[in-house]
Amino acid sequence: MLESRAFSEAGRTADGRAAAFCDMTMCNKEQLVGYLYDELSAPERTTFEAHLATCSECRAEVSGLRRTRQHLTTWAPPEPEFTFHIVRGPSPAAAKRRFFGFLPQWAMAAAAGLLVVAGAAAIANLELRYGPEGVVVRTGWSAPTAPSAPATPAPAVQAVPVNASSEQWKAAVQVLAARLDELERARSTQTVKASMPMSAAITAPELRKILTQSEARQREEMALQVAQLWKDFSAARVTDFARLQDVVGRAQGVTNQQLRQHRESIESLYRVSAQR
Amino acid sequence: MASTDEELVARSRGGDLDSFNQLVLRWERPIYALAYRVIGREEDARDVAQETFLRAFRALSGFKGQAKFSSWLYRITLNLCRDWIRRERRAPVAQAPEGVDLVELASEAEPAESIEDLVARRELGRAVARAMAMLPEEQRTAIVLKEYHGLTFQEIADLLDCPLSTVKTRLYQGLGVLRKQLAHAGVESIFGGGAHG
Repeated sequence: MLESRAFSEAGRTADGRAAAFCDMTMCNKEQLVGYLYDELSAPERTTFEAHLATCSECRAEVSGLRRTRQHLTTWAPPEPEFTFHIVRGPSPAAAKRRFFGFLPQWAMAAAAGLLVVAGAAAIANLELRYGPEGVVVRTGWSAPTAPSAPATPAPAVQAVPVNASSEQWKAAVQVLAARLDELERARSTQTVKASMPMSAAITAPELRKILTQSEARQREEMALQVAQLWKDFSAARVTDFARLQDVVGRAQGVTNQQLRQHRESIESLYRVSAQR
Repeated sequence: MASTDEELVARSRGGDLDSFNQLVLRWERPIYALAYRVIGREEDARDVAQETFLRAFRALSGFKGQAKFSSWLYRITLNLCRDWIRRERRAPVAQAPEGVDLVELASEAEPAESIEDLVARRELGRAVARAMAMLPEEQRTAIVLKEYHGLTFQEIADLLDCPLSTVKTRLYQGLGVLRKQLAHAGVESIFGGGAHG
C-alpha cells in the first residue's frame, strides 16, 4: 500500500494529470514498470493488458516511457583506449636482489666473504645434538681455558760476558734454541686444544653470557687497537713536525749566512771605494 | 569454445594471470561504460574501471562465487563511483564533444543512416546525457543498470541492497523525470514527440 502511494505520487511528478486520474488499485505503477520492462508473470501481464485496454492514461504513459527508453539508446560513452592488464609483480627475492643491486660488486663479495668466515667459525665451534636429555648445544666458546702443559723448567740462560770464549757462546745459543723450540711446541698444543669441541653442555643463558663476554672482549681489543693506532699516528706526527722544523731552521740558517756574506761584501766594496 | 566467467575465475584463483586478463578483456568495456554513465567523466571513468579490476584481482581469493562475477564487478564499480561522487561533492558531468567531424560521423553511420540522421542521433545523445546528469544518483544508477546493462529488478535490488519495490519506484520516477527533461529540451517535438496510444 505504501508502495502504491509512492508510485501514485511519483506519477503526479512525472505526469500529474495522468496520475491524478488513475485508480490506485487499477493503475498499479509497479505493474506498469514491470510491463514496460517485460518482467511480469503471464497472469500479471494478462491482467495489466486488460487494464490498458480500458485506461487511456496508462496507455499514454506506457507509450511515452517507451519512447523515452528509445531515446536513452542514443547515449553512448566515448570509446576508451584500454591499455591495462594485470601483470605479476617481482617476487620478494627479486625485490631483495633489486634492493641490494646498488651495492658495488666488491662490497657484495666482501660481505659474502665475511658471511662465509663467520658461518665457518660458528659451525666449527658449535655442536647441536638431540638425545634423551633433550637438545644439547655444545660450543667451543664455553670451553674452560685448557690448562697449559706443565712448564718444563727451562734451563737458565745466563748472561754471557762480551769477552767469553766461543764454547761459551755456542752453549748459550744452544740453550736459547732449545727454549725457543719448547715455547713453540707449548703454543701449538694450546691452539689445538682451544679449537677442539668442548664436552660440557651449556644452557641458553650461559651461551648468552658467553656471547656478551666475547663481545665485550672484542670491543676492548678494538678500543686498544684504535688507541694504539692513534698513539702511533701522534708519534709519527710529532716526528714529522720536528723534522720539518729542522729543515726550515737549516734553510733559515743558510739564508742568514748568505745575507751576512752579502752585507760584508758590500761593506768591503764601500770601504775600498772610499779609500780611492 | 570460450570459457565461462566461472571457469576463468576458478583458474585465476589458482594463479593463472592469463585467465584473469581474459576476464578484464571481457568486462572492461561494460565496467567503463557503467562508470562513465554514473559519474559522467571519461578520464575518471577509466580510472574507476582500472581500479575495479585491481580491487577484484586483490580480492579474488575472497570471491566464493555466491554471486555472478559480473555482479561482483558491478558492485565494486558502483562503490568506487559512490566514493568518487562523495569525494568530488558534485553531480556528474555530461561530457560531449564540441565540434562535429563529418568524416568521423560518416564512418560511424549505419548503412541505412544518413549524415543528418547521425547528427540528430548525436544531438539526442547529448540531450539524454544532460538529462541523466540531473537525476539523483539512486535513480540514475537504477536506470543505467536496467537500460544499459540489462539487469533484472531483482539483480538491481541485490546489487544496491534495497527492496525490489524501491528499484521499481526509482526506475519509474527516473524515467518520468527524463521524459519531462527531454520534452523540455525539445526532444519530443523534434524526434517524433506527442502522445501515442
